[in-house]
Amino acid sequence: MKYDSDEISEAALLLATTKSAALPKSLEAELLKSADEFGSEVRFSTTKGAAVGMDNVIPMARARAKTPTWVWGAWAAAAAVIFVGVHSWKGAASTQAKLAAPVVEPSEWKLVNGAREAVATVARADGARKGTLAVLVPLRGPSRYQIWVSPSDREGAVSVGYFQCPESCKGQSFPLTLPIEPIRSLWLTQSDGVSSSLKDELTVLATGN
Amino acid sequence: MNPTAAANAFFPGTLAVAVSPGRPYVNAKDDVVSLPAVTKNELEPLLPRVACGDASAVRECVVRYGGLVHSLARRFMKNESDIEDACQDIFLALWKNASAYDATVAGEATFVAMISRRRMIDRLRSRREWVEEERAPVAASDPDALERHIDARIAYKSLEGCSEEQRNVVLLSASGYSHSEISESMSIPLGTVKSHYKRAIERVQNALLNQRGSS
Repeated sequence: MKYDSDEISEAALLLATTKSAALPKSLEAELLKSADEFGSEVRFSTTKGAAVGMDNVIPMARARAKTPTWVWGAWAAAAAVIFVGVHSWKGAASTQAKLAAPVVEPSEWKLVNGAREAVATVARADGARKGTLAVLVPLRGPSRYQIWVSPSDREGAVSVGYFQCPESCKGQSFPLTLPIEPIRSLWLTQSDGVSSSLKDELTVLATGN
Repeated sequence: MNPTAAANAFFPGTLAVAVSPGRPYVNAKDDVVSLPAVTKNELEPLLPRVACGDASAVRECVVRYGGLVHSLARRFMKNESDIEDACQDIFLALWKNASAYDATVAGEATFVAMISRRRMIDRLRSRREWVEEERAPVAASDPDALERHIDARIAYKSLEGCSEEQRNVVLLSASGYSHSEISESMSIPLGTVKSHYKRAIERVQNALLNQRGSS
């Protein structure tokens, strides 16, 4: 979504001339219900960390109903051609071919700072993933630590959790919901507040691979 | 209500902030500005958390901005059923576009007002018939809004240096009127409306930019 300074200025003037009154209870209840529905359906984008509503996802049943029969025929023909091609190639290269090993995610990632000290770990436990902090410095004020993961590079990083650390948080664990598999890269950042994307100006304290 | 009459009613030659007893008063003629000192909104933004998929922040948005969104919708519509639909529409747009919020550009409440205004104008124009009574009237400034929202205060205060006609044009535009509608209702040429708008909106933009730069 794009917006310009004209729109922001007009919105500020509209705000200045609007007396905010209490929301009627019945409407508030409806909006909170919608909020719960949206919150439960929210999905992480794998590119920008933006929340995406489920109405952006086309249900498969609907997609199938709209597919003409001749399309299936074309797909079947294409699949047959590909099968024959792959079969011929495998026959020619059978003596050299080796099956690629499946990608196995490590059970633990270490996030290390510039001095190669491990400041946090993200570990898999009981099917879920959790983070354990090592030697993070306590943060004052609104500052927060935030964890990011990506299946590729920094461009594809999404936020998976943030936390405050007002006192010593060494050895503490925190739950993480990781929407990406497999994880290739991790980052730990510090900022005043929560960021929705791993921008260049964010201070990266530690990285992991 | 005739929008020009509405605008004149709120700006009868001076820029006067509707104030409660004991609150300082602003008068453009005397060029006296004695609004309370600008204070930062202490509330932590919710939209970055919404963008990160924090379900509790989605709910908090309703609690924090429900009254504002409802009040904004009431300025554009009269029918309560339409207002409720519009509020649902606005919040959905807000949650989906949470990642577009940039705290360095505007306050969060300003962003909420921008989304609300955009959705309301879209809804009304999609009907192809904008009922006169449903148009957003130009309203006097609200002291609570000026105190709570720094952008609102800065923007409104920046209009002090504008002529009355310039102020009316930009406030009508902020309330959802197109330039041609403003031209018709104020009985001034469209080109004049555009030049008035440009001068006034530039003042507001500069004031907001200066405020952002200094904070």
